[in-house]
Amino acid sequence: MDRPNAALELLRHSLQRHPDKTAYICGEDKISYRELDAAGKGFAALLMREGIAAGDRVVLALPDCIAFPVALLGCLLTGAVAVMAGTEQTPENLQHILADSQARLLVRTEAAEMVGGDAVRPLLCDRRGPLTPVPSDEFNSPFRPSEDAFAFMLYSSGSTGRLKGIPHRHNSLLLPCQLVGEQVFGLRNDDLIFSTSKLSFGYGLINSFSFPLWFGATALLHADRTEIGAVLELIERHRPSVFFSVPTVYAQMILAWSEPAPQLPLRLCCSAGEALPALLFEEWRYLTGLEILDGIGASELSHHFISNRPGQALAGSVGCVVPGYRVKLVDADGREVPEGEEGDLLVSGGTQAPCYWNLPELTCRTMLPNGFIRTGDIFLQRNGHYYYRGRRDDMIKVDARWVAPAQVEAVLLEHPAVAECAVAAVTVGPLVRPGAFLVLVPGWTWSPALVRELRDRFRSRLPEYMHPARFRVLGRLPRTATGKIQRYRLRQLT
Amino acid sequence: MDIRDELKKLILEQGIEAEVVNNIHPEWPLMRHVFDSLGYAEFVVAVEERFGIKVSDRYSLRIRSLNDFAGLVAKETAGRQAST
Repeated sequence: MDRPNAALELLRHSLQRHPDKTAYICGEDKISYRELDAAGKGFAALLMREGIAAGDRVVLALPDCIAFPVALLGCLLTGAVAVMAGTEQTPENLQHILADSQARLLVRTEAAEMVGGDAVRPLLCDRRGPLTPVPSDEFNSPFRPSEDAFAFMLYSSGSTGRLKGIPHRHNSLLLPCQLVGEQVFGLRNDDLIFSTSKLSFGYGLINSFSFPLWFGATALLHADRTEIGAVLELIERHRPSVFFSVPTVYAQMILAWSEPAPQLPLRLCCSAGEALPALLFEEWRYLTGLEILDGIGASELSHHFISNRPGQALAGSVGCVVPGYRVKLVDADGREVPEGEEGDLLVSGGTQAPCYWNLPELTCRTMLPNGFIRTGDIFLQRNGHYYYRGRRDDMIKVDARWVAPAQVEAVLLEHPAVAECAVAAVTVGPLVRPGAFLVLVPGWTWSPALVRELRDRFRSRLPEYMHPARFRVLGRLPRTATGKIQRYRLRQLT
Repeated sequence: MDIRDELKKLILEQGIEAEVVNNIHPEWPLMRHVFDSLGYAEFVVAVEERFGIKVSDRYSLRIRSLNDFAGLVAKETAGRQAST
């Protein structure tokens, strides 16, 4: 049985009601719904000229500019699976994405540095679309997705640091609009939506692609890296009404203001990606008079499945289950825990990915036979509100991105001074960062020069969010009787 | 050395250019004018280690400018001296 094509569904209402309304603003560029529809069809025609067929993987290594939704619409219309890479991947990760997804085409800008991207044929774009556009009327047969057809694929870090592909169907772009955008946030067609999370992440994809198009709203895109000065200037200049971001950015905004805080044009402030500290929620409300609606989603579910509601946000809680999703907190034997007790969070819903790409064992461990997905998060629930309590594994969420301790530890161990090490979450102010705990080789002593050497090593090896914020030297690492490092004890040390 | 001068020295050690450091207005938020978020976190840790203090959660979102940091360091170290 055919399912709706997300590209057609998302644009349908706006093309009927307000085709000349602006869909996207990016820098000095704007595009209306009518122009976006034509550009998407033109991109689909271009993909067909390139020999791309339904099911082929097309990697979108684009910044958040108008070309991104244009390319994504083109992929959806042809049935190609859009692989969300963005522009912030390391060369190794991009190579892995291209090889693992068996991509047939790499869509990128001319300006982008694409070390490792040479193995796959490129399709070059500027910030508005392909450098060699094709007329939209060349495309006239939109793909009709079957129940199992994949629409897009996200890549998220696994516990070894290796990225894992998470394929989604067309419905994962549509259902969050009703379940979250409408039911929870009450988005409207007069909204101007600004998300600091990029389109290559599930959260940013729904915020900046699905929500604006479904509601006939306008989205503000920011092509460059998220820097706080630029975020504040965009808010001042364009006056968005809905702001999607992550705790790190909210903290930066607070720290970047001189009191009194500016009057913000926002009617909704939403957060996800990592737990929002109660202190940050309270300080933001004190300064702006606005609440931050925290929620939790996962790349496997495409967007939020638990969220706070406008006017009812509770500091320190990620909110209540979004109607349409089923959530369970279970103990080690899979039995549901009583209210107020910690349990492993399992979730099930219409937007869940059916598997991991080429990872059958991980799929079996995470996607359970009863239809639930094991998130790896530990929560407790009280009066219907959910409270984050930590992770079952060692993964650390920093700036809404996963950090695998093993990746950071590998860089530390390359230094001749480091005999043993472990990386665990530490806090700097209210926010979580990786912390490095080291045992030095005899003969080495701890010094500011050694810290600088280690920091320099990280600058050349890993993205900034993975760099340890704190270093601490120990006589020995705390371990269990079987030799496993006790990271909770390291966290307690700070 | 004046606390503000010591703080400026720490900012220099974070890799910020001397011209930027010399022109820091003591009331400016360091986040927007000097650091991005990760540089800011590194600076907070450096201040904690240099002065042997802990920037508590309570203060962490209200310490913005060079004067704020200098005030906190003076208060925390004075409290420590008084208790010894």
